[in-house]
Amino acid sequence: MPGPGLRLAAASGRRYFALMNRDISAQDSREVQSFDPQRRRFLGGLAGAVWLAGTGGVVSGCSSANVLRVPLAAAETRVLRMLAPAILQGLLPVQPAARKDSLDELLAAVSTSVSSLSSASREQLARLLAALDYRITRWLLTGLWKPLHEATVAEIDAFLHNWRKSSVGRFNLAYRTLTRLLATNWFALPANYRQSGYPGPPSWPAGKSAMREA
Amino acid sequence: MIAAHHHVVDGTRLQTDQRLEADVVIVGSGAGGGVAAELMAKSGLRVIMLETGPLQLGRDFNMQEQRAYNRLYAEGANLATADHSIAILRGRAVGGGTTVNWTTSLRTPDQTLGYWANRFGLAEVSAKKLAPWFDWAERRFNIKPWDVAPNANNDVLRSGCARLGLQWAVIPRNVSGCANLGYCGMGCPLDAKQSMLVTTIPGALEYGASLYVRTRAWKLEIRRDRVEALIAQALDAKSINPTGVTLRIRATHYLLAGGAIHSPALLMRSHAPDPYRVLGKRSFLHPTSTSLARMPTAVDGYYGAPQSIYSDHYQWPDGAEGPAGFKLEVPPIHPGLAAGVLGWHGRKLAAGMQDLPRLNVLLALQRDGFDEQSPGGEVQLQGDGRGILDYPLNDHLWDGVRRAWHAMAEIQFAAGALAVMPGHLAGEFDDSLDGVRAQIDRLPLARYQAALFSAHLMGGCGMGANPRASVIAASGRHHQIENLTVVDGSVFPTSVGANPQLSIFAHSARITTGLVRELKPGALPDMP
Repeated sequence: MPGPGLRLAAASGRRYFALMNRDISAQDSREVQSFDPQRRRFLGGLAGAVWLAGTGGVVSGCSSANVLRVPLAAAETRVLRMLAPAILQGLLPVQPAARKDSLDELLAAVSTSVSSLSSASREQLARLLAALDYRITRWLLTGLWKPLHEATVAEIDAFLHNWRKSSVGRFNLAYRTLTRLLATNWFALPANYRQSGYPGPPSWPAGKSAMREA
Repeated sequence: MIAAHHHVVDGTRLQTDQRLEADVVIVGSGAGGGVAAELMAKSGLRVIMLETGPLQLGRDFNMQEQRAYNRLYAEGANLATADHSIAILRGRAVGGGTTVNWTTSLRTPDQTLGYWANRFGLAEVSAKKLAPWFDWAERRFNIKPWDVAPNANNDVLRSGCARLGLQWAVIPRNVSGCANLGYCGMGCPLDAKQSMLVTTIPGALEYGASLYVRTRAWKLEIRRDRVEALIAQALDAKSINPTGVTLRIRATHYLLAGGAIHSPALLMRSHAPDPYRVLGKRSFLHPTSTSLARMPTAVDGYYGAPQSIYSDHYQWPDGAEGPAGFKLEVPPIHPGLAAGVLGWHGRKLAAGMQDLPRLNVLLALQRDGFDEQSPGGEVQLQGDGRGILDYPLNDHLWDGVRRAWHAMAEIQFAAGALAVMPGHLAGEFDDSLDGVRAQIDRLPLARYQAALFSAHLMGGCGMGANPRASVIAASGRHHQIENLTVVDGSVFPTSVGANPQLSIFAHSARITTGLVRELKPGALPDMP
């Protein structure tokens, strides 16, 4: 429930703001040195939010026992569906019906992947997705106060880019986790082979004779 | 082939608790367990094999990435070390890693065995003493240097090394009737790969062994210095959650072959004696970095034997100890895996993936565990009792990663690459070697930024003469528990310094034969 979660998030955000600034300034990366104050605050808040998410329960809105029983909860699917157009820019069909079918197929594949995860990994993913769904943690993580479905592709692209370039490991990890989950499943779908120029598996036994001749 | 008359039980379908008896129970059906099962069953012992994963046969393998990862790999190929800094590809099906590996079958390097002899008192496993066991395994699994031309992806490594005057060699593979398809990692659809699935497991079953699949060994009941029973859980269809049905198996001897995470984890859950706190320590995984190259012509890295060339030029820079050495190889390049390796999103991802047919990827597998600065990781138990590998990254490792990126970029340009990019979140394709070198020197060496992988889990139940520094003796026998033997990759006291399957075959055959002859004098007369 949001009441105590909000207070905890705000407090931890302040605490970790200070802590993360120290961590960042300790590293001599040009990127980090060029941070403007707003971005430093942004990242400090991010760290707090992820720490908060790491404590579990507070932001997830449902118990972990529930999370583990379903391949992907409705809220999780919603978050992934909002991220997909930014992660897969230029790859999704433009025509609305085809786009919806394509996303449905992707989300079904992602759901299968997620159902193969151990309970510990599953819970970590659940926390990350819940943190993106819940307003205060989403704001801390991404700078977006509005719901993801109101965000533009450019806005989502921008925070993904920040995560990728961040010198705070947790954001690199969040970036790798979400982009990999969606991109791997997307390009592994036979319907999308042509987008990578992959001709697909050889047909058998035709493949065998072709290979032998070669 | 596994046939209808063989005794195979699917744990998912068990409705009631089971009480079973056998001469030997073997935990795991991969390279170690498979070899052991056949030798044991052949010598007339009653064998029960337990496998966590499902039984999937050649006809189930359809060369589709998603299906293969979800069915044949731990966590749908999303396994990682405890802090997620190293992604781990680990087979989890009948046949274990041998069902999904890329067939590379290299002997344990002499330098590794020399180091083991000196450092761990393992003169019994010298190159000379192991040779007959390698010979045996090479015959049993039809291991021969690949005599077909390497695919273009492997040829980048070969031609780059050749132009620079660096050592390279052809990889021996365990195949018979291979059609050079390139889908070893998704399960061989032709049963050409001589994995445990088509060799020792049907062999053991034919000799009367039983195989329980989707069944997880959970706990050993240990009284003083003996195991009295093994408790196993029947698992659901995904091989993840227990169904509630349990199996209690009593045997004369217990063989662990669950791999380098699960063998130590099973002993930890069972509160096995560990007076010197060595169990689960010194776990290794050949931390692997990548370098991506855009080639001028088609590479089609998804087709053809995935690994046929390697280079050990940088493997032993200062002998066994000192700065980390690395072995150079290539991975197969299928679109799902490649999208993950690129580590991008948005327009950059779309553009990068369009070049997939011209993409070459080199791998540098770091040889960990040979230096004071390379202590490896540690298997730990999670809240749910399952094992996880905690593998801290340190400067010794990062130094190896940086040198490997330089070496790989140089080889790729020598082979004609148009542009090269180190596998790092901030990596960018650059069209000059100088440019890439400058980039490599600039890139922050930090977890999650540098892409790190592993497909080789080793150690955690290390062999050694001294019980204060090892879990098992050279015989494979546990130092403190008399009827417990370990035969998988967890027995290695360092990483192998080569893809481990042939090392596991040889050690499992050696250890198992010794044990069988103890239990049944005169057994297995054909073995070395």
